[in-house]
Amino acid sequence: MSQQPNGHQEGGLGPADEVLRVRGLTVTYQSRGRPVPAVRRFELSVGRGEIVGLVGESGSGKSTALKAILGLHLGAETEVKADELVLDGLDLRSLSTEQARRIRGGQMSMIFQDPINSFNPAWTIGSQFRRVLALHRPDLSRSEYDDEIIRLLADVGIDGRGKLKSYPFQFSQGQLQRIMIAIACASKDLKVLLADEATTSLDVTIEAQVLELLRRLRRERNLAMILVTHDLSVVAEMCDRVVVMYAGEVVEVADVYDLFERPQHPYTQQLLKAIPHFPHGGGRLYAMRGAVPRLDQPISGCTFAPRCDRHLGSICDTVPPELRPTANTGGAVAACHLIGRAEPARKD
Amino acid sequence: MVDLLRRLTRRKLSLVSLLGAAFFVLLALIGPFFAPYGMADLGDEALAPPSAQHWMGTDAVGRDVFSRFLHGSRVSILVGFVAVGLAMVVGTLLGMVAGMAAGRLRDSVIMRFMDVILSFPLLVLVPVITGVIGQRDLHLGPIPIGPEALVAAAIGIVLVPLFARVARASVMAEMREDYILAVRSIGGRGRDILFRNLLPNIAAPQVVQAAFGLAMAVTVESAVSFLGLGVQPPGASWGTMLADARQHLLFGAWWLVVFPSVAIALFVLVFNLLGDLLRDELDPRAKTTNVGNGKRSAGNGRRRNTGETTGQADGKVATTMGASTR
Repeated sequence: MSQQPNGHQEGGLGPADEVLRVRGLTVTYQSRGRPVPAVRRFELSVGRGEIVGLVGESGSGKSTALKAILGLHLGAETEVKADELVLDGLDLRSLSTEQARRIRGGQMSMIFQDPINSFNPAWTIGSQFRRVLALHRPDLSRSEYDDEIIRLLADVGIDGRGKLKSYPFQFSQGQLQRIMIAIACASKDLKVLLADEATTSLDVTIEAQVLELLRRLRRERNLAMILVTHDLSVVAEMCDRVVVMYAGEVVEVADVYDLFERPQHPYTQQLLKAIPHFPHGGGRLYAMRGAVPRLDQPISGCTFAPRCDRHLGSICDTVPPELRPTANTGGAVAACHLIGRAEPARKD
Repeated sequence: MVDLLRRLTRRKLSLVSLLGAAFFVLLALIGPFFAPYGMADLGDEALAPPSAQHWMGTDAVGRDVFSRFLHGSRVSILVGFVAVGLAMVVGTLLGMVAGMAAGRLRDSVIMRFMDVILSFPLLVLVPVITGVIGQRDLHLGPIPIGPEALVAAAIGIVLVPLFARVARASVMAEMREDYILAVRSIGGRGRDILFRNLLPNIAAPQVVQAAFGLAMAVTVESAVSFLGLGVQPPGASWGTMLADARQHLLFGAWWLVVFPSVAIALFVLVFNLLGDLLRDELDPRAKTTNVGNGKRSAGNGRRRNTGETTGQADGKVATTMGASTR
């Protein structure tokens, strides 16, 4: 993990060995003829072997941003724009459709929340796995596929012998999630693994196994990962750095310890406050008032202003805050008018 | 496949419809070899009622109706199969391409073209196509294209939207499934998505549609030939036989009308039944719920479905499909 007090470029973290860099990412859906800016001014930077958490409420644009990074949005109704989208020195925006396809699953893969539905029910596991090897492992001949699949499955703790002819429904959810990880990591050039709520649908014991598996992959293959989750305990356990999203925008980026110890953005502060602590005094649990704003209507000022406990007055309602460096180290930033004011942001 | 056959033969009704379908296929394949007379051989007696010599009697010029029926069945049934085969391949591909590009220009162009075809009544469009193209002698390489092939092609064209629309709808639903996203996230090619992932998962409704399409194609062929715009005399098909029979019905020559009519009715019945049963059996989601006590409720559902849609050969299947698969 990188700790670089002043090495960051403006507007984002700059880890020492950067493998993925996203700047100014905007994703706009068309919904009933109206544009819905689901992700705005998204920024992210991931270093080699670093695990970055992407947290936020449902509908805050986490998954949308992740899909945009991998180029999975299609259709006339979704518009993706970015100022910078660079994977290991390669500008992803300049790629042809065919080149972009090779990147997917080759250098950057994604694992999904629902392993059961992520497999084609009509084909055996072995047949689906072989297709992926055919796409991304030119070093292997067809006769070597099955041995390699067994090896890759063994890597994720599944004994694949005799199971390649089984259909997805013959496996448990935890097994399928691990098979999906094995498939996603089949390429030798893999640099970044995107995990979209990859452990949300698993029970706690299986979740722990999968998280351990991801951690081991990071250790052994120096993979960078982006974990999208709304489970802050997963973040605390797994991540080096955290990006907090709210209503389609990045509101705070910080080292995982700083984020939990010294959250700078009021949203992060209120989010952490909403975690129930045990034992607690028996009083009411803290709940953030209000709801996520509708994105199909224009928002003036700070998106979080209507729910903010530390509202500053008219500036919050009229001027959208920029991401600014905070008191935290490692190039931490937050988008709040409180940052850098004469009265420093205090910890609640 | 074997499993499907076993399940289809388990129930009496499906066994009957399967046997019926097999009968018609056999009739088309080997029927003419059993014809006692030539199709156009003139006998000594005109308008003779059925007898040991002429099982289905003779027609106005003394031709053996049984022989003509066997030859005509081959034409009618073959035209149906060729038309549906053509429509299924072309329609499924077009529909899938449209469904994958849903909302984009390619989709609009394909589907508006389908709408153009659909906007004409079947019985108008088929004669127009055969009439316009059929004026000249057509050759496909060295092989001359007969009027039968032309009718088959015309019906095929007219049935394309039936398959295209169902395919597009299924593809659009499947495209939202996680496994398609997963395939794309792993760098799957367009053809991986189209043929490996989408096709097997939308095949079932297409097969069902084919069974209904067969019934429809045979009806249309008969109607067009009856009007004298399809298969031309002296060639025989169920439709032309009925057309020949028309003038003699008043003189009590019932045998000219009954056999082709019954054949058409039975064919339509058998393939509509088969379509219904296939729809129930091929529903991929029903397969998993059939385990345990799901069986009984699935059976009930089947009976009700059969009652509702027997005898319908139109596109409504698509909507009932959608409702029952979810």
